[in-house]
Amino acid sequence: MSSTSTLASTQQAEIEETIKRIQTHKGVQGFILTSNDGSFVRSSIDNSTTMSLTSLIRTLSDKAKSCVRDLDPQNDLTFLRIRTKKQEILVAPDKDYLTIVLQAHEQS
Amino acid sequence: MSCGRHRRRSIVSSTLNSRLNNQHKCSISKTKPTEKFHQISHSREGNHAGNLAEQISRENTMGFDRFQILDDHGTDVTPRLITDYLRVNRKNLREDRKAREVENKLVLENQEQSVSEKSILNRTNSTSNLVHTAALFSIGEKTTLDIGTRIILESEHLLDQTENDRISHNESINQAYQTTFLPGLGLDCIDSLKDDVVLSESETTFILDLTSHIVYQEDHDKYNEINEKNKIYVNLCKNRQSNDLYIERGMQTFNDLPKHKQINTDPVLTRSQQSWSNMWDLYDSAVETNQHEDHIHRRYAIYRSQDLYDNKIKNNEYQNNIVEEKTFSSQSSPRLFSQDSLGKMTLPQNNCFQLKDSTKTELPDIDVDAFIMERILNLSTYHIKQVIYRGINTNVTVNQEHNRTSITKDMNNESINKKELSSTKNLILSLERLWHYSCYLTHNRNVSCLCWNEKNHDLLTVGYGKFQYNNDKEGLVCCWNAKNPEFPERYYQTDAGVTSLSFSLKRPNLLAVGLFNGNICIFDVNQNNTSPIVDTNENDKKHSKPVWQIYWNEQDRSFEINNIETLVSISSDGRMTQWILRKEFEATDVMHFKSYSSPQTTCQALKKDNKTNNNGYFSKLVGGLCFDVHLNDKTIYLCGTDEGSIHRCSTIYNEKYLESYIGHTGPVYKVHWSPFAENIFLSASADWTVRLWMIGCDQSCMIVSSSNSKIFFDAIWSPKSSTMFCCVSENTIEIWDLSKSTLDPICIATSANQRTLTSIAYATDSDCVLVGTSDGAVWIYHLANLSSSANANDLITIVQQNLLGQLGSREKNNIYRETSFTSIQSN
Repeated sequence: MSSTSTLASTQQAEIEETIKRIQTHKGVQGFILTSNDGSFVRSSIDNSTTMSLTSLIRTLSDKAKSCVRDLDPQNDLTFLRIRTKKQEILVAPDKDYLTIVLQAHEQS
Repeated sequence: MSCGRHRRRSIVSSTLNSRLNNQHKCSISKTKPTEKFHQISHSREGNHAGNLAEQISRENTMGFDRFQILDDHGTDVTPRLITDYLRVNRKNLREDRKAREVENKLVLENQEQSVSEKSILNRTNSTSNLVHTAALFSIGEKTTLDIGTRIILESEHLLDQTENDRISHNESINQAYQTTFLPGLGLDCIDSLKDDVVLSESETTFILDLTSHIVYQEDHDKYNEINEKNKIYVNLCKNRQSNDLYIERGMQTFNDLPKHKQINTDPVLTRSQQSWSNMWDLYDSAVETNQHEDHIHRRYAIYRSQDLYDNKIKNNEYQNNIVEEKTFSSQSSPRLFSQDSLGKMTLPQNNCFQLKDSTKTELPDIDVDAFIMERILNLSTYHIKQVIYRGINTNVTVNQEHNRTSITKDMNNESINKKELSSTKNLILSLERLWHYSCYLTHNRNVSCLCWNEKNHDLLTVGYGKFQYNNDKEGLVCCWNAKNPEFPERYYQTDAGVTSLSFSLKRPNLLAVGLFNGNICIFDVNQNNTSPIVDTNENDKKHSKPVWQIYWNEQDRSFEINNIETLVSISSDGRMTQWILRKEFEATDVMHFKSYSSPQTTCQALKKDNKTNNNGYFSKLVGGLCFDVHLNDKTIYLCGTDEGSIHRCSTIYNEKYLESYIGHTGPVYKVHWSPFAENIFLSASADWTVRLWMIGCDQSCMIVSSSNSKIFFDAIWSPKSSTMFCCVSENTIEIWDLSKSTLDPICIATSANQRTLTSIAYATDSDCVLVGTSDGAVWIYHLANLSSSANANDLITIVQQNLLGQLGSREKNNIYRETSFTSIQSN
């Protein structure tokens, strides 16, 4: 079906653009996009860091999601923000994928 | 019991014969005394009987163990086996063919005679023995024979056969004979073994069935009944102990020897698995079972056939939520968690070693996540500004951020003072620049109009279009969100410059766009289409000149149930048209702008010449540039023309103007009714002035201009304060407060690069002003320290005072009447 494929391709282009914009945003130190089985699609930081980050964040995100849904099964986790001393980790869990962005703090 | 014995029948013939011939009571080791006795008893009878006895005894001593019952007279009344009689019968027949009378003839004999005759005569081969055996027992009486007996009989039969043979051949019975065992077959006749043998289970017969009764406790009758029964039984058991009526008897069963048997199987693979069940897991399973099965299967099928990353099933609620930006989460809960496992089953196309190959891979459909991520990122970056924008923490000012904002350079002294006084509270109104909306798309485009969405107060639409004549480039419409100042959420390319925008009130996802070429398009912001859903390109009533303003008007038609929302547009071709959106656009002209005939204008001369002709044909149509519908009365509207006149008209009466306001010497770019005072409006024009007008007075009551101002492109009343308004002239933003000063604006902000500022709008939710520039950026300025808002009366008094100053006394009375009328209405 060509129409859906074109739709997909435009969507792809849009997503690609969005990702580019995210990566060039102020203060962004890294961007990781992983799938549920642990392999990653995109990453802008080195391999080892990516792997460790992915696995750890995934467990945390799953726990958070479980917590949210236990409270109310109709609810779901949309976003998770971890503010650390050095940076801020933004996690967007999805059904199949996990998006992680590292953003440096605003200078204060 | 006897079958076992028979199995072990051995060759005992010769020895037994010898014994029998002796006929005395010598001790025979194997036989038991009872048997001997039996023999003897038989021998007492006649020869014939003795002969019989011989036979019987011979048979009997074949390892039989029998007890004997003698009556008082010593006669033997032992119950005999059926087999005995049969044997007897046969012997008789064979040996005594003549003598048919046997003393011990049983009733059975007669019945059996014919049968046995048949059996003898029908003797064919060994296989038919079975038949005979069977036939022997098809007696009229019901004799249920157990398997054991049958076997005996059959074996006896065979024995007879062999005996007969022997007898026929020779008298000596020296041959050893053995019986072969035949399994007991059913009583039904079986011709031969060619028939199908069907083995099946016979019916279960319950010999004893003591079912337990369960009775509901409330059912008193039955309950009592059963209770009684139970009690009786208990008593019975108790009494059983020493009662003569009950005998206890023990039995012993044979214990067969056990035997070990070993078998081998394939090893059973085990794997331990554990899981925990959460609330959401239960909920998901419940939801899953409610869904259609084929639906689920379809989902799985799609996953397998297509690329894993090319997820079509994902709900595109992102697009639906452009107006309502919440509820991303609620859509994701019905997604099945089990699909995760499916995802694991398919091999991942990328592993971490292909990081560098990322350009080749297709991106997963994470548009929602990417979208949210971008927003959050921006929120972090623009955090403080957002706070100011939302008015959350008024103590936070822009100055608190280091190196972040660039305060406009040539502000007034007021703002410079503000820097020094930043610690103290500022009382002076100032404009603080928060952020700007621009991106690569909007570069070098002129902002022509701004429009807020009524429903989603964060959504701002900006239209871009160049205004140089003969330079009609394509236009752009961008939907910006306050949460993401970096990139618009939607953008639509149009084929001509955009001149006006308006969101529908009834259906806030519809955006009407007026273009430079006279076309009107309607976009649906819910979908991400690049093309409009409707446009007026083919409509014959479309405008031929740029559509300068459009407006969604909700008409109150008494004869229709729903209020239809119509689109009203004004254009340079002199028409003001109302469009009804059904399947296509349907247009009705609301007004034609004829040039105003007054002694001062030159059009008068033209008219005089064309006296003879009809009025309508030659009147020049004047282009309309702007209009504004009255707040309370939707049929009254103002329109400004490009010859400088402003007219008040009504939709009901579209022949003539209700009132005209002459004063401007240049085209009027904007008219705006005051949101507070009903009958007062302002107009911004290219003649470097902003004028205030009042209904009833055809001369402007106030002329506002300052030294800074040049062409006023846009002016707007403040929604908060009745005496304040903002206007934008070439490269300055001016905020006027009439209660403070009518000669100078209270605040001026200049654009940094001397860009032309072309449009202005107030933000709906916050104290911010948005200004569009000619290079495509839309700046947000925060009005800090907004003074307490004035109400309608303040404005009216100011206007009154001005008018009084201008006009004579006679008109003063008129004005008083008008203003009192106004004040009554506005209260």
